[in-house]
Amino acid sequence: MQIKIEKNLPSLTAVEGLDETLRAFAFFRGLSTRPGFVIVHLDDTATPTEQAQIESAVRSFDAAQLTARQQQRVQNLANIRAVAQSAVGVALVDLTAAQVRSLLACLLYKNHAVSDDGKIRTLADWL
Amino acid sequence: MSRLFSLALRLVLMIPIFRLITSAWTSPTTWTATLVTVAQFNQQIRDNLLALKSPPVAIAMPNDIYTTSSTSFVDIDTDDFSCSVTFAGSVALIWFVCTLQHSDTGGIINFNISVDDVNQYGDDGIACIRPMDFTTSHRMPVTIIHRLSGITPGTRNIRMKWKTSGATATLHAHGGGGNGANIYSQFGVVELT
Repeated sequence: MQIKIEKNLPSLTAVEGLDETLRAFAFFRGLSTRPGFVIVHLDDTATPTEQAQIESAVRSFDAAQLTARQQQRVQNLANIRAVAQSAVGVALVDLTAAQVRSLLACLLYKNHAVSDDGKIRTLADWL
Repeated sequence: MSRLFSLALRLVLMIPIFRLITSAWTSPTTWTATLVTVAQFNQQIRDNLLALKSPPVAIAMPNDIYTTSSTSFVDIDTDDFSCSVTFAGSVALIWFVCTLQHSDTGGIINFNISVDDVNQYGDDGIACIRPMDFTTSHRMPVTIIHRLSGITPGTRNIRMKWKTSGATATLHAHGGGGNGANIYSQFGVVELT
């Protein structure tokens, strides 16, 4: 079953944040969006009370607030970017070890090799 | 002024003529030694030729950004990726053009077709796409052409469904903003036979 709720999620980050929040409900199966609306997919067995719970969670979700996982990801990326930025304009032979490590981290991030807690993911997931 | 009135009158009079073009298909008669009447000729020859020239068709031009995190097939959008067609036959050609993005490496997006909200294919549907790149940069154009048979004649609602292996799948269509703002997606259905 699905419930269509009027709710604007201005970014993909907000969409993923709401999805992550709703995963706390065992009967939640995923969500779809279009600007201005969220469509929540639920188990067909979801009771009216459970439907009301999830609708309330969608309506009260703060689209501007990052989840803890998203905050960690943003922070990790910011740290790597700060060191990598210092490598801009530096010749390859003159790069410091920290700069080489941060540039490698950039490439790994770009290949989704790094999990949200900053650790290398299982190779089969990205290699 | 009178020229305007004349033009308006002509337009009004033309409306029934345009309506005649949307002829329905009639199963051809097997003729025996019978004189053909004007009505029969018009139905069997004129109307059927018109029906062949302009078969039942519906085209949707979605105009937004759509996402899903559902791992089972759901409508991309119940209104925007939806075509209702009145079939005389049972076979349709379906086309679907869009631009996709996925928020995770290895994330897979699958598509299915439903008729009157019944998925036409089990398992993972009719197509699978793996956009596979960085969230903020990569978009993949997708075109699906599909011949669907076994349709029961009558008015049927055909919709495009999708699902993802996890994380979030995004479909960009015109008006949706960002790099998708000038891309014209299309979902269409036309009767073949």
